[in-house]
Amino acid sequence: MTVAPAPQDSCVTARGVTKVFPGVVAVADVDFRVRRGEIVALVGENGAGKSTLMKMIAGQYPPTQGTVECAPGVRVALVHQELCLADNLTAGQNVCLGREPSRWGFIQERALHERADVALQRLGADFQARTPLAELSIGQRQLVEIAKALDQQTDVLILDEPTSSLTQTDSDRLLEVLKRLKEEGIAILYVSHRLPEITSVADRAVVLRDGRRVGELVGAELTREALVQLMIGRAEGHPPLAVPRPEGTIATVLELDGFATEAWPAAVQSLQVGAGEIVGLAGLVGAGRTELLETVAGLRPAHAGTLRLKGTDLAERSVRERIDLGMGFVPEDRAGCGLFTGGPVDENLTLPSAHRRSKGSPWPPGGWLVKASESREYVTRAEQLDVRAASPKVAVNSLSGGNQQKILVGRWINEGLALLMLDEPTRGVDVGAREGIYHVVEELARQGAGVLFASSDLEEVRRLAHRIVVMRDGRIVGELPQDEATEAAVMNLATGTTSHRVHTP
Amino acid sequence: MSSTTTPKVIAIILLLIAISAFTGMANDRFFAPANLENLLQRTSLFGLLGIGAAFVIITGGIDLSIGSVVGLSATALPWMLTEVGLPIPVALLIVLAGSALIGLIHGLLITRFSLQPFVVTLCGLLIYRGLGRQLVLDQTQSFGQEFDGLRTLSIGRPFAIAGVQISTPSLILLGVALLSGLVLSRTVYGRALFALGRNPEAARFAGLPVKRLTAAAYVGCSTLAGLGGVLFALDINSIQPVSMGSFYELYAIAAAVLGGCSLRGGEGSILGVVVGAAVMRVLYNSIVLLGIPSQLEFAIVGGVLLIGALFDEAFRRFVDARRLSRSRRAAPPAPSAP
Repeated sequence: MTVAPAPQDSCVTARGVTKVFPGVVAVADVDFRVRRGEIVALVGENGAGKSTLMKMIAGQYPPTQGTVECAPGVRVALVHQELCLADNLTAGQNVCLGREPSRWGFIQERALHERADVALQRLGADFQARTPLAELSIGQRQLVEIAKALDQQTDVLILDEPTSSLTQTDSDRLLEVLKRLKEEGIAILYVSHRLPEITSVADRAVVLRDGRRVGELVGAELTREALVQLMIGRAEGHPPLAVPRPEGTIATVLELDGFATEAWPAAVQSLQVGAGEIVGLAGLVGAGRTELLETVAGLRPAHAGTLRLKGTDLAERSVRERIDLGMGFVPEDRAGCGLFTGGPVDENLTLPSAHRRSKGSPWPPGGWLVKASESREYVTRAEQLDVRAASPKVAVNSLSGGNQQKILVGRWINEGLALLMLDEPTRGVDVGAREGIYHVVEELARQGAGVLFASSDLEEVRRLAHRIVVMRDGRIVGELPQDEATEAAVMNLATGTTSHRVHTP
Repeated sequence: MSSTTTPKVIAIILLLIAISAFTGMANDRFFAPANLENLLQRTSLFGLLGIGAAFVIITGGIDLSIGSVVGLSATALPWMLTEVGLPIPVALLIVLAGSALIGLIHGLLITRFSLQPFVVTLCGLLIYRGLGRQLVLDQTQSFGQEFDGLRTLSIGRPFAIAGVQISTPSLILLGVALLSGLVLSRTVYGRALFALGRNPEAARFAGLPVKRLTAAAYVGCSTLAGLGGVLFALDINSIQPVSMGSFYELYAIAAAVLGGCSLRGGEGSILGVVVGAAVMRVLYNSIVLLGIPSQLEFAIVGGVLLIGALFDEAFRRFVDARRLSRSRRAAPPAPSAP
């Protein structure tokens, strides 16, 4: 990193920064500057490069090209979306973690908690530093994270989606805190999907699309409409549904009745997905969508109720039996739960169905690999899904996010596919490659599969779903047909501002 | 064999050739038929243990009890034949079935009770050693003169190649290696085992029977250790329950790791493991033939392993860096790039 003189009021200046990951250009040639006492919003769709840019500014990633310069003495702190706190410690111990006041090598607990209280009071926290972290709400923990940054004499505070899992009240409170910190001269870099928040607190907004900086809005230019237009490159409207919802009475493929997950045993719910229907699960982070999908997939035990796939009760069925009955699940965490990391691309696609191809062979257990039909299967699916891989034998993790996702979807494509479930279908997928995934999903629905997917990206839910089901605290709190699902209507349901149920047959 | 293990196997074969050539030049007794016969026989016995260890290591697990299972079965077999007077087939069946049962218990403790493989098999290491010693009250076991027929299973030399007598254990190893290689590379079970080692969570999400697959690997490992114990006992014919087989798990694990198995799981090949076992034996042999103080044995074996691990890591980084630079070229970033 080269150090060049920065303009006087700039805390951090990024010049022409580019970050390349295997298979993906995450950020391309971006100029960016943060000044003292301003709130800058960084806006863009999922995968636009916001997180990567933030991490480069915070010094966590070295840029592939370009420079990031900090004014002398400036400290930058990054508060992650997923909070990194130890819940076996008190709030104060978390605030001072790694910088505990000590004498003769022993931590001085009283001094520590007094110091933490100062930082917490500055943020208007309604709890004491001595409170165990485990007793705090997510909103309160967010304040602990910020207090931790303040305790380090931070000049630039970077917040990644700080309100994504907060209730409306907690969000409003947090925004007040940010305004106060700004008055104190701290520079705040703020990433959010919630556009109303941005227009209310930010002094300016920088918009990224596909890793490039596409524009900046300052002061009065900063409106919701202008932001959306820059983000998606076109005016907001209802995106056309590529596949119409099936007409008339359709066969039910998935039926939940009085169903409850172990994570939320009290939240009993019913849900149906029809053949050829695409149902989107919307909600805040932690609303229980992943738990619901994983329970349906058989990866977690159900707490109560019945679960039927094409009329077959799944209560005692294993994951594999559910798969053999026509269920497929593409998890959110591709690297952690989806891919056989390091394994070749073709085996990643064909292994889950390998036992079916060798049916009729009593020995060895599981059967012989039928390599000819396996490579036929791979070639067919790769063509159908438009998978771009140098060879079927390259390691699956060398593919781009979009191609990896196609491999995971491809696992479940066969004549018997009845229900495809996807958790965050385009997380970490380039914006340009998303349409490819949508087309695959729509094509499968057209062929008669029911689709149930969860997504935090509202644009995506509205682009893909015929019907939108909103969850909060593990419970289905409402349902909206595609044409009524405005961002406001979904957010109101998701945050509990209103609770209504639009009935669709 | 996956594309990443192939270079490792080639490297270990080259290492074997290099050590053999060096030792052979320094001392011509190395290539004497008697020495080669001995090397082959020892390699075969340790190769069996290494293959067992490889199955477990491919799942991302570890088995520290191999040496104690060798000790227990090597102690129990002569005891059942000479003290109890059981017929040979019954005694063999009990030893092998008992070893398989030990593996099953390991597998169940690991998959059903979520205990760590290290802990489970460390306890096994202690328990089976204790049981073996108690069984015969630390008395040295021997087959006497009556079981020479059975002993040909281990010391028999049915034929010779180029003047070098091939022992029965080498044929047993050949059979076990071919069968294991077939299972790993040609069956759904084998492929699932690699997938499970690469990412157990993904295997669960893909509907693979993770628990059964894992347990089967431990059953295979302990059964091969039991078989190894039988062959060692028949070969040595003077079995000390206190020391028989101790440290053999480390030889087995070292052979597997030298042969390209990654302790992170998901990687390995049978050919590599067998060659790895050969490298261990040749190394030991070289120490003797080159007149290196035998006290240094472990130090030298450890040093070779460490260098192998360093080389492996350097190779992995090289491959990663090349992959990164290739994808960077494939997707050129900003036009302003210098």
